[in-house]
Amino acid sequence: MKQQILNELISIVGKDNVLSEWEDRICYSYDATMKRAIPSVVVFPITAEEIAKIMQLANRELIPVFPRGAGTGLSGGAIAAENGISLVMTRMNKILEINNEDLLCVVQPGVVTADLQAAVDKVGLFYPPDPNSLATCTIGGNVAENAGGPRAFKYGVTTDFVLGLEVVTPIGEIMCTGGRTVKNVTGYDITSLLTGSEGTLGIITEITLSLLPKPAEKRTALVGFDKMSEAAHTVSDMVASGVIPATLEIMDKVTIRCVENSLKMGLPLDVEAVLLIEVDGRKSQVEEEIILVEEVCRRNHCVMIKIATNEAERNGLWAARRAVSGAVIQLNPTKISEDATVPRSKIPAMVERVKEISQKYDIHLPLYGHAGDGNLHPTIVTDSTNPEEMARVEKAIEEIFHAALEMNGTLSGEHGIGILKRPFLVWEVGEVGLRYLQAIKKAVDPNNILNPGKVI
Amino acid sequence: MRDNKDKKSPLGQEGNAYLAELDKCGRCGNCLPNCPVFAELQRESSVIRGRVEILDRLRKGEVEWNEKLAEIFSTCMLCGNCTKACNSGVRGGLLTRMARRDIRKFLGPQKPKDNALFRILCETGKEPAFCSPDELAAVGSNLPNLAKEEFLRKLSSKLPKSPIKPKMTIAYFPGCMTYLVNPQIGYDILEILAAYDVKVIIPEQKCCGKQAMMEGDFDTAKEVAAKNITSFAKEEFDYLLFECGSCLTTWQEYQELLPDAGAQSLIAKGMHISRFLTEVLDIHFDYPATIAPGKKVTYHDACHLKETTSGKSAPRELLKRMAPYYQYAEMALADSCCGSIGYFGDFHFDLSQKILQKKIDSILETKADIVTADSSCCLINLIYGLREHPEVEVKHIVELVAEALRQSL
Repeated sequence: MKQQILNELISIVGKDNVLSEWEDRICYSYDATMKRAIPSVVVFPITAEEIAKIMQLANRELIPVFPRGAGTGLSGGAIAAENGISLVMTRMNKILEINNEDLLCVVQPGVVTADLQAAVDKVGLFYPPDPNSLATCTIGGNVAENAGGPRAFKYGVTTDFVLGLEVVTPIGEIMCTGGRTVKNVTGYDITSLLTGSEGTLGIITEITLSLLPKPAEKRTALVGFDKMSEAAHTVSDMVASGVIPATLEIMDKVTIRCVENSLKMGLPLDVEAVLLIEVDGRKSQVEEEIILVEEVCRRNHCVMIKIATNEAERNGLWAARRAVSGAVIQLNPTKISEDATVPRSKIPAMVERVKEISQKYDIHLPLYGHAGDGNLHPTIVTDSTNPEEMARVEKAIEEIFHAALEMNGTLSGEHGIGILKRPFLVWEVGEVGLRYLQAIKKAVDPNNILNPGKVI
Repeated sequence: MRDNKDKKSPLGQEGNAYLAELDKCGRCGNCLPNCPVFAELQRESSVIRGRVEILDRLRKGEVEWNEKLAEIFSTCMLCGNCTKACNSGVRGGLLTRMARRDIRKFLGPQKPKDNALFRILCETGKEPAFCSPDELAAVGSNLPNLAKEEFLRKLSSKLPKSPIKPKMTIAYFPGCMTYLVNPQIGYDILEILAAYDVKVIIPEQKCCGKQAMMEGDFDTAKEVAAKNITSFAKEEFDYLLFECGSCLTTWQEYQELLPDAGAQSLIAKGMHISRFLTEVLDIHFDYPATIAPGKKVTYHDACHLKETTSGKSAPRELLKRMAPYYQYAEMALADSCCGSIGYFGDFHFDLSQKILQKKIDSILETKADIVTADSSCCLINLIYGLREHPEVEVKHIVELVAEALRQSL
């Protein structure tokens, strides 16, 4: 990067907030995918005004800008290009307001999701979206990717909680969208468009999120099955029976083994699949619901059922679920996390198809995920240094996508399109849909400065 | 461009074992919220995820060791939190130490590694006088004044008499804090054990080697380890006791460091004094009925001790048993690092102080009269951090036990 441009960046954010040395930049070349690109400079802004100036500079010099939160993404959304600016939002990490009369909070994008949840919890409120990486990832990244998580089954995903945004547009102007009201139909719903735009349409600098009162009680159950199909049927039966647990997670045998290997917490190793089910709400409600949950599981031939009796046991079960993503790497070093999602009624069929694909291409394909909302995570664990296997992996991924779309599902439930799924986007949205997306992008980012090469 | 073989890369026979660790990392970022240094610096290069990426590129020959990388790899306290948090089993501490070994090999020892203080401790600290507190203060050191008279200097007059019919024999490995800063810790241990008819032997010893290992100086570490093993192997004992968590965990690594030296049979008997007192001696305190509720005590978990068997539970159990003479109150974030393991506070004084301040705030919030811990580095750092709060005493847990026993019937 030219010294004059570096100097300009330094004059905007200060010397300490510009990293230009190679060794520092290496550490911003990755996210949680296997994609890599070393940005030519890493910048840490702290205000929307600074970001606006950076975007104006970038447009003048035609330098691409790549917003980044904590770098935990699973689709390559935060990966920069070799000639680009990595714009790291983590310094903007203030919780500006928590309001229990309007049931909302106003936060900066760099706030870590778990920190926000802890802060609202302290005053009896609840922010449900819980992506697996919540202890690390940031709210800004969650909004940009429209992150989900286990609790989406009952409570919805990030976009269901975003009331308003402050954003810096790709040409360097500051704009506010939405607001602080539950209802708002003024103009186009730009807030929803920006949520899940994966950093391609604007840089989020402030977020107003709606909150819920904290559920008083929770009950968590770990349920084992001898057949994967029985676990899958339990999920659709549960939904059909009118019980909506807060979370309904599934793990197959391979996944359970990896987690047990890593945490050694006594998970059942003799079952084919487990469901992790949590109900929440008022005391009388959860007590009634956990009985219903048990009934549905027994009706579907579960072989073991363990209900956590205290907070420590409950935390243990969740630690097991959160450990999955890292633990499966034991099988092979390269992990490709897919999140093809199907309508809930199609879960048993999708589980079968994924198993067939795994056998057909002879690859490790541990299956886990948010069964309750149809968001499975068929995760390919492979070795990127083995070209022969990687070729099979490519084919398997394509077949998983085809299967999901055939069942009226989607390519991605919560990880986003980013770089990894970009070639397949047109399969789902069609030529017309793709042109529509491209037209929107071109209208707001005529120089294609903001996160180019992603999504469309 | 030099030949690839000459590159300053972590290659060579010994390097390969640890390079396999790199393949386990999926860059998930679970280490970030668990790293006390990342919490302060907020830079990917300060946490193991970034360092794995650097080492991976070193392995591929894309980058070579240089001063910048030496600086990056120096900002790790080796607290072990990232290793514990990693679901993929990446041993972050191992990678950092091996990286430091390479840096040492290619760039030489990093300052202030070879300062006078380092030599004192590595050479068993027999002559503590040659590093004055003024000299330490001048370099921004958190180190306290050294004891006027090191532990066991007045051996005959201070050692309690050996029991006539001992019920067991223990070998005691005093840490550097006991030798150099506060010998009372050692004397209190001798007093407690004598009261329970335990015979104590203190074989000749060197520094455990923790600091050397942390700096990647495995030659020194092996040297002191070999001497310690030889010396302790000559004695007969039932347990090998440590009053410092770092010495204990270093001994636990001797077997891997020197596979043929016979460390395993010695360290199999090893445990921390808190665990020994609660689980082996099952110590209890019978106070007079009239005893009034005493001082409020809070406990700080030492990073290395907390990962050992009963490392978190035994000290707390001991504190609870001492009630009501001491009233135990758990502080928030009790198990977060105090900011100085080994000489981290000397290498990165300002950074260490920022981490320490969080711990001090936590301690003060409890309004405790005493903060107790059981590792040398933590005690030294807490004394420094509380220098403007004389109302809070910093004590090793055995000092409290000895005092509570004196109050017992």
